[in-house]
Amino acid sequence: MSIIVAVTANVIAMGSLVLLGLLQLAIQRRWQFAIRAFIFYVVIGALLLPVRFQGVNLPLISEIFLLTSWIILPMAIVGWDLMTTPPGEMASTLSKMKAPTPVILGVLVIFRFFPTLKSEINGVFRSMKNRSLTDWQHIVRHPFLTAEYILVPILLRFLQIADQLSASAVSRGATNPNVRSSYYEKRFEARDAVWIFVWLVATIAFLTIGGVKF
Amino acid sequence: MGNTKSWTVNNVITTVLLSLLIIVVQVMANIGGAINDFVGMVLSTPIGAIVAGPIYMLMISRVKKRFVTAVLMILNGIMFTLLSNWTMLVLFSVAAVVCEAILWNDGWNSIRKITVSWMVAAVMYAGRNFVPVWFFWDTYQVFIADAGGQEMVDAMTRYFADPIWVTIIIVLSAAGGFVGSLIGARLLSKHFSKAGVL
Repeated sequence: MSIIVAVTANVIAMGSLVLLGLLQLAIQRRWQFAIRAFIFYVVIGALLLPVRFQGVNLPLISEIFLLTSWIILPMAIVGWDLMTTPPGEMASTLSKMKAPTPVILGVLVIFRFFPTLKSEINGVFRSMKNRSLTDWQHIVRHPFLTAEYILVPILLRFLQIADQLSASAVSRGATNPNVRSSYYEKRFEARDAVWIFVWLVATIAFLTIGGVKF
Repeated sequence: MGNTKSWTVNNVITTVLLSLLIIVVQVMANIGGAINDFVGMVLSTPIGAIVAGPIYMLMISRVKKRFVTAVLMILNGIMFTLLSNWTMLVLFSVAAVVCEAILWNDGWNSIRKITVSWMVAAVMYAGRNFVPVWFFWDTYQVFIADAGGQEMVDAMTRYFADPIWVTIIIVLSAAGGFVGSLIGARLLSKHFSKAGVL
């Protein structure tokens, strides 16, 4: 017996979920993000089409990678939309849902992770550049040392950030068992219910039309 | 032996932060493997295990609590479940149980135990490619063939169904975990112990 592996064998139908994700961005007027996601979607689709229908073998990129990108795009769009929610709003919502404190803290750390990583990597490369450690000759001659120069400062910095975030979280009452609140918290409105219903219907239709296999 | 039960806020934040860094490194290795099927399917997991090994070593040595590696595995399981299918959560849950069992009794103080747990984690990470091919091939084949044609089916069959290639991938992944841990242990003594962060 085989159990469902991917949501459906009909990969063309996956485009419908991407379009719904883009619509979600458009409703929130997140135009820049929507345009970028749409361009990525078109590029991946354009590369995948000849592979699928004309048997083209791409020389510089793995077809499996393209397929994976195509599959995860709906989740990536909605996931990134969620991850860019203001942390205060998210903490307040999770607290109202009675989520345990470690879960709330974990989610908040996940939300702050990518901007922090980007800024720390930029900082490390700037200081490496000041010491002429980013020259190609040096990198090629000493790849392990270069990796060490990048990894060690980033890890030390991350440990510092963890300490700072901990102090900040505790001072803001992270260990307080009461329900958290936020200046920016939003109520669950009728339009939220409507949009959840739209996603639900679209997902069921997608699975039905696409053909779920068990 | 420290307090093995209660987690502090700092433990939670450090574990999640470094787990995410490990996941990002492994995903970057996978993306780097996009240059061709051999690199992507055979070498990406060992390379990821080598680069992420020092981070794992630091995380376990720093937090010194049970369930640290379980958090990493569950985060991986959730991510791969969202990206592919629910069996990934089962796979990484098994990985969490095995790694926790290795580290259960004061394992965070033993470089050897951390090394073994990271080698197991690397092999289980490689398993994310095998599970769909081994257990759900009928469905998976239809899906892959429909999406990418016979070329993709052939590539997956070559590397993930052939016992020789599977053995090579498992051995390389374990070796990657071992080398990553060795580098990690060296970096711990060279930098992090001296900096007083352990």
